[in-house]
Amino acid sequence: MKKTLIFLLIVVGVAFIGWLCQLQIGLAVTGMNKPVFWGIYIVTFVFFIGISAGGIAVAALSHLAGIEKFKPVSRVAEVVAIISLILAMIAIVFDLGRPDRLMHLFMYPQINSPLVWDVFVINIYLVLCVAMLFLSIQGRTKLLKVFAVISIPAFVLVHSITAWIFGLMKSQAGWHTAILAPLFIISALVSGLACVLVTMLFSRRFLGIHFDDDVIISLGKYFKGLLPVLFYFLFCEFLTAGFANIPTHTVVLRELFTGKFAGIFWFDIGLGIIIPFLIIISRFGETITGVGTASLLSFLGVFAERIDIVLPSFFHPALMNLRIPYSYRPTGVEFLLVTGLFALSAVLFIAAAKVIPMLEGGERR
Amino acid sequence: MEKTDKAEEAVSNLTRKKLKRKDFLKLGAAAGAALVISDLAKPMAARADVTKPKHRYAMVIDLARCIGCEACTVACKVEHNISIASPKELARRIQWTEVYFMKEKGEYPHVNVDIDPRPCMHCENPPCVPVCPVGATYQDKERGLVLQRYERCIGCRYCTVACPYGARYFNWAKPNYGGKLREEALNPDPHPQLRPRYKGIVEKCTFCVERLDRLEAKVELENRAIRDEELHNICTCVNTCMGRARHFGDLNDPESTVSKLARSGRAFRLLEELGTEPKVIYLRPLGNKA
Repeated sequence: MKKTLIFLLIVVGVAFIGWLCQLQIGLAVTGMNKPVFWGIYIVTFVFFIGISAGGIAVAALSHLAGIEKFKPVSRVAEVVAIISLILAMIAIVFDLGRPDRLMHLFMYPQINSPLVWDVFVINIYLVLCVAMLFLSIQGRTKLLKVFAVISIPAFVLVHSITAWIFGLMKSQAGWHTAILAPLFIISALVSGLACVLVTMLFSRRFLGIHFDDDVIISLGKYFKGLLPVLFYFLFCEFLTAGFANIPTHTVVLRELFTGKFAGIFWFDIGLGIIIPFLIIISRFGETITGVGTASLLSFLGVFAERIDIVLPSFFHPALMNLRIPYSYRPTGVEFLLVTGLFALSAVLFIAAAKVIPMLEGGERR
Repeated sequence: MEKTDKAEEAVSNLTRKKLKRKDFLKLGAAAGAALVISDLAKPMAARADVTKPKHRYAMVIDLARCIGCEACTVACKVEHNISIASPKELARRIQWTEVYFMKEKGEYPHVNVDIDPRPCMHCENPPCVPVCPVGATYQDKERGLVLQRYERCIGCRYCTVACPYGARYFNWAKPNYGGKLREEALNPDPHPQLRPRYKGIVEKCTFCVERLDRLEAKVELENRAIRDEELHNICTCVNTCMGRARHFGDLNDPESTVSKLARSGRAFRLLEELGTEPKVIYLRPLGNKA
């Protein structure tokens, strides 16, 4: 365990040096360019925002729906939510050209901008999550219930607004669709639940925090409801865009189905949605390995889906200059920083597990 | 008769009824919420119409006269101290105005290409302005120009994403002025829009606001209105266009050259369906239906 931790810390350190390099040279060290203004940093930001949904989902199940079984899990879920929100904020700082001017967001907020809505609602959501974790540790169940109720509209807002950053942009093909907000909510729930499950299995294996098999398997059952809805929303979007056959939208569809993003797209549909669903409804879904595989796959699937939503539109701007070829290839620095973020998430979780009693009322073995 | 009596009674009842403090607070909260909602619900077009600008500076580009020589691009780069890019860095170029080569048509030997010289459209409903989280990009209400505050910009590139015309450019690295030689030859104009930029911020076409400012100051001193012919050569790109394809002027003046040209049957604007109301008006090439 110690060796792993040291390794993770080294990765975080190298990524930090990479970030200093990026600060020094500018965003030219990334693969981003003229039409592809946003790259893997924004994808990671959106992905981490999505993961934070897991915390709220499990908390709502245990505190509001009154499913006692999930109570011991809610603390892990909260910790995962808090860590992912912090990492999302770091990801957005990576993407800024002038991170030293971050305070301008609070000094001169411009209320029309979806980005400002997002900054505020993410901060509120983070405060709510921290408060819920705190109350859960102190064992104040009644107040916890109140916070759990408040956090549900906050949860809907966080994911909707993150979707609206993209969905309100009329100039980008493929983004300007009303289903984006519901789609973001459902994929957030999928990735959040998947991340909570993966974290639980990880802490069972490596941190000696014992979660019951029963809890893990019955949490995994919720994929049965979530994955078909996710598939349905994606289908609605593609049918609407494809049937209407508006050139600016079909180019994005073609990019997804057979173009540059086909590999990532079919990975998402096949390994990210269909296979996990089949696993969960089969006998294999009744085992720990089954649930683990399904959640790992859908976790990766949602990351692929985020790439598919954010990136392809950039390759088809409304005005194309034929003279300049469009491409986007993430550079080493981008991969390094994103890897660093994931490593940091593991470090933060291990640290949190040392400080916070993860099992409500339970003892650590 | 009876009806009016009843109405009067209802009114007097209402006025007589004292508003309790609680009610008042409730009313205030409701009114506040209503205000916020009504402001958000207004379409962007309506918001822009609130103040009618004094001038509506616009450009007309005659595609029949444009030969795609990009002299406008070069002149603009020199005038505004714009970073240069090597051919390898084309995808990170900064060109406030550039000529888009859009669509190839026909088969050899009858090939033609749609060319589109494209400065910033200075839209009346600019999509880039509402998305800026810090108000770094704003619309100059008096003149209808869309400008950028370099010292405010945080480099999130939301505006570059929102602009359907690709008219906004990001400094991916420290601007390259081609070494010492060019740095000494930079345009010394102290106008803030012209000072050399730095890495991590967005910049864009200003319709040569430095020259407009100077002209307006001069006109104010002489206590008269701007004459149309004084505007003809304001923009560097208009000044340098060898085919005389570009024209600049005030759309609020119905007799100006741009207003006359804008009324032409050949006039059209780019991506009009997006409702951005661009103020760069193109004239269709002659004898070309597309």
